[in-house]
Order: sequence, then structure tokens, then C-alpha cells
Amino acid sequence: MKKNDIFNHISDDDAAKIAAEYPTGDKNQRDRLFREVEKRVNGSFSADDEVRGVDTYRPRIAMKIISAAAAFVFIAGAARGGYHLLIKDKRSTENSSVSDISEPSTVEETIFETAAVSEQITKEELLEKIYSRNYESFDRINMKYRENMNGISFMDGIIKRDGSTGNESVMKTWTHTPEYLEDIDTDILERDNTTPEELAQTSTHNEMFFVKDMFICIYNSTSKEGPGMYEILKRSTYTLDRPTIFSDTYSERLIRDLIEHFDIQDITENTSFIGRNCTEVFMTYIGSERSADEAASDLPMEPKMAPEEDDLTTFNSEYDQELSLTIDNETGFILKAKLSYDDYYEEFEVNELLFNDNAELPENGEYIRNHIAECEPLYDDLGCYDLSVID
Amino acid sequence: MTDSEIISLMKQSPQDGHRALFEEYYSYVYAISVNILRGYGSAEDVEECVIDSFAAVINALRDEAIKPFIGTVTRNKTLNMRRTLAGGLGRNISIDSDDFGDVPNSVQVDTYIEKSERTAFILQRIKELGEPDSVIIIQKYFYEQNANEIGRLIGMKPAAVRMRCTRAIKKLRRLLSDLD
Repeated sequence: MKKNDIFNHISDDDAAKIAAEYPTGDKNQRDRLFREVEKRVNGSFSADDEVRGVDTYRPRIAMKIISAAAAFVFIAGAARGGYHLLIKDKRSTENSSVSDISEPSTVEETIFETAAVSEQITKEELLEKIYSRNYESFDRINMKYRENMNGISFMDGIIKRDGSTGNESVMKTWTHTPEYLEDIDTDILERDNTTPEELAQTSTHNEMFFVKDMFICIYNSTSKEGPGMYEILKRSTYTLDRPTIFSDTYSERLIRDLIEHFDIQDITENTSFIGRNCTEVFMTYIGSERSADEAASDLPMEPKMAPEEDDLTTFNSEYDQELSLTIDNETGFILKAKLSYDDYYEEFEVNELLFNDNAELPENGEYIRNHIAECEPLYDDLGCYDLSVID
Repeated sequence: MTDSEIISLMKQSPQDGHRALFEEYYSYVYAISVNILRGYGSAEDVEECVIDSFAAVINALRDEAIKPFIGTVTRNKTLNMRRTLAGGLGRNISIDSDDFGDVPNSVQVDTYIEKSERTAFILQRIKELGEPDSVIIIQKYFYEQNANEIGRLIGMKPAAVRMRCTRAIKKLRRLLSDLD
């Protein structure tokens, strides 16, 4: 975790000037601390007495180092900050004598890094939790999820995995808003006699089955009349399910491509999402500076409304980015994620997560054969695969 | 409220007086504590020092100027905690160390003045960011408040606080590049 060295051992005099111009402590915080002050005044004890008790603060003796922020001298402030909760009158600091004995400060470079959080889980521990996830350790897993691109393109997915056989299935349904479809060539719209609004009412649906050494894919779209298409490929030639089909999810792409570049800003432990105990993390990345020429050379000939689908989660080092994660404490799975920069965002959210006896097996051979029977082959030589061995 | 008004209120209505003292000097005490404990203690440790300082001042306050008294008490309490924490971390501070808080000699004063001017420059750059960015920067990096606490303070959602903070830091970095 990086440190922020903006503030580092400024004098008490300067700390006082900061306090005068920038008061701190919202009402909740002040009320809470004042209650403790009153308890201590009325009980006439202090932290030095090392009092233990349910309602008292416990003096901390051994703590991890949690933060290092550079200090700087506060220039003599006249006006107060105008934020509405703590507006105070101008205060004179001329009578202050306590700051005469000031701690000598060492010259520090101003290094901008993120401030450390309190003694919560560290980034290393958090990453360890995420990296410890193992989809193969369960007899069965079902995951229902949604991927959302900027609120204009959606993919709803259902994954089923049978840990004992390694068979997997994933159903994906794509829907789009008219805004997403506005870039479609007008010639194509005219050819198909349709409009972005009409297309937005349709959906594309893929079913993928990873069964034994076969990768079976069935394509359907409600925008097209007639049967769907299917193809059967050799499973080993594709990496979609390496080591499991979950590798193809947005959350896994985040872990592979992005997380290491980001710094943790906030961690909230013991939250709840879809009935599971989770940790919420907020991370940021500050983009690297580029010269105007470099930036100009990358401009597309035509403005893109949104990155291409294949670009999702490919790390872009130029932009300032924010990443929010909700991580399942038991499994290390990412259950929720949101990546945003400028006005663009991508979201991932698990709607349902089931394990073992609560989860369903992937679709069986009968289901697959029946669906294929309703479709036409994408290629002519698909007959070489024997679908009877699926079960 | 002036110091004499606070002391007077404490005699008439102790709890009201305590609260008035607390509200008047909360930021001051917090600033001293967080400044001394930076790099040694947690947010809880800072709050512990704040609570302990106020309790000690309330118990001992007579008819006197509050600010120097509360500042001294806070400083001493916080330095005690820091030494304890540093000892637990294996970071013992020698009595000869610059960090021990002795009266600076002339060389130290010269260095201190130079740093003061430098940091005054930094603070002015922060101020140039304007509100709420300047407030967010100070709350986060001086007071070490998190986004939820800052959001409650300035009436902004935590996500918005985080976003503004990230952008403000980037702006500040550019403003401070002149320092080098």
C-alpha cells in the first residue's frame, strides 16, 4: 500500500492553523467521542489507568503502522472553510504558546500515493483472499450474473458447473438499448427494415456446453427469423474454460487485467450481499500523463460511443479509474464490481450463487441434442462428433 | 464562545460547559493528536488521545486560558501514547533524537523555517483547488478521515468524495510540480 507524504510532522502551531481553517468531525463522530469523554469524566479514569470494560475504549499498546502522510505548514489562515456543517468564527492563534515547542521536521519530497487505511485487511491480504478462490473445489456451482456496459448494453449469464465430471454450461443473453444501437450502419438497418428502437426489443442468446472433449455452441437471436445455428468444436483448442468457464466472466477478467494496478482507498468489512458475508473495497488508479501529441495520435477517426465488447477490462493506463468490488469472504469470489472512468462505467453483479446440493447440474445430453435438433449447423462437417456420448 | 464564557458555563451547567469546551476545541485537539500520531497509531488511537485529553482538561481546568492548557495536555498525552506505540513497534526514540520534541536549536529552527515556507506553499496550492476539493484533501490526508466520514461532514456521498479526491490529487500534483 502506498503512503501519502503530503503531511509529515508539521508543528503544533501549524496543526492548530489547519484546525482553525478546516474543522473536522461530523456530528456522529463528535457525539460519539463526547459520550466517551463524559463517561471518563464522570468515572474519573483515563487510558493511562488501562481500564478494561465493555463500554470503554481500550488503550491500544501495540499497533501496526497504518499511515504516513507528509505534513506541511499551514499558512496563516484568515477565512474559514465554508462547508456548511462546521462554520466557525475566525479564531486568533496569537495566544498559542503550546506550539512553541515544536517537533523538528525533516525535509520530505512530496510524494503522492494513497493514504493507508486503519488496521483493517491490507491489500496483500485482500489479494490473497481473491487469489485463493477456487471454483474447482466445489461439487457443483451455479452462478447467475449480469454484466452491464454503461447502462446501454447488458449480458445476463447463467453458469452451471459439475465438479465431478468437469462438465459446464453457460447461457448468455444480450440486450441493448436503442442508444447502443444508434451506431449501426443505416444501410444495414434499411436492408433489414428495422430501427434501433425495434432492435432494442430483441435479444441474442447463446448456449455453450463444455462436455467431455466437446465445446458445443448454440446461437439464437430474436431479431432473426428461422432456426438458430450451432457448432461443435474441440474443447481443448479453446481457453474459455481454462481452468473453468468462470474464467470468461467479467470479474475474472478484472482480476487478471486490472486489480494489480489499483490502490486501495477504502475497505469496509463484514458487509452483506445476496445473503453472503462480504468485504467491500474501493480502489483507484491515477492515469499517467501523456503529451498532447501522444494523446492526439490515439484519437479514433470517428468517435466511439463505448469501447468494443472485446475491450472490456483491458487495462487502459491513461485514464483515472475507480474500481469498487464486493468480495465474498468465504470463497474469494467477486460478487459485484464497478469500473468507471470519466462518464463511462462497466458493472458486474452476481444475482444468485448456489453450491453443491443446492445447485443444478449442467444441462444433460437430451437437452443439448433437442436444442441442436432445432438448429442448423454452422458448418457442414459437424457430423463427426458423436453426441450420444454426452451422457 | 470565549474561554471565560466556557469556564463560566462549566460552573453553571457542567455538562453544557463540557460540550461547549468540546465543540470549541475539538478540531484543535484532534489536529494535534493526529499530527503527532501520524505513522504510529490508528484512528482509534487518535480518538483515544482526544477523549483522554478532554477528560483530563475538564477535570483539571481552573480559571485560566484554555487553549494553551488544552494544547499542552493534548500534546503530552499524545506523545506518551506515541512513545508507547513506538516501543511496541521496536521504534524507540532516543532522548537526543529530533523526534523527541525538544526545544529546537538554531540549526533546527533554520531548517524548520525552510520547511515552513515550503509547506506554506503546498498549503496555498491546496487552497487553490477550491472547495470542496481542498476540504476533502485536508480531511483525508491531514485528519485521515475516510470517505464516509468526509461525506457526512460536507454533505456528499462517499463515492463522490472518492472521485473528487482522486481528481484533486492529480490536480494538486500538477500544481506542486513547480516545487521541484
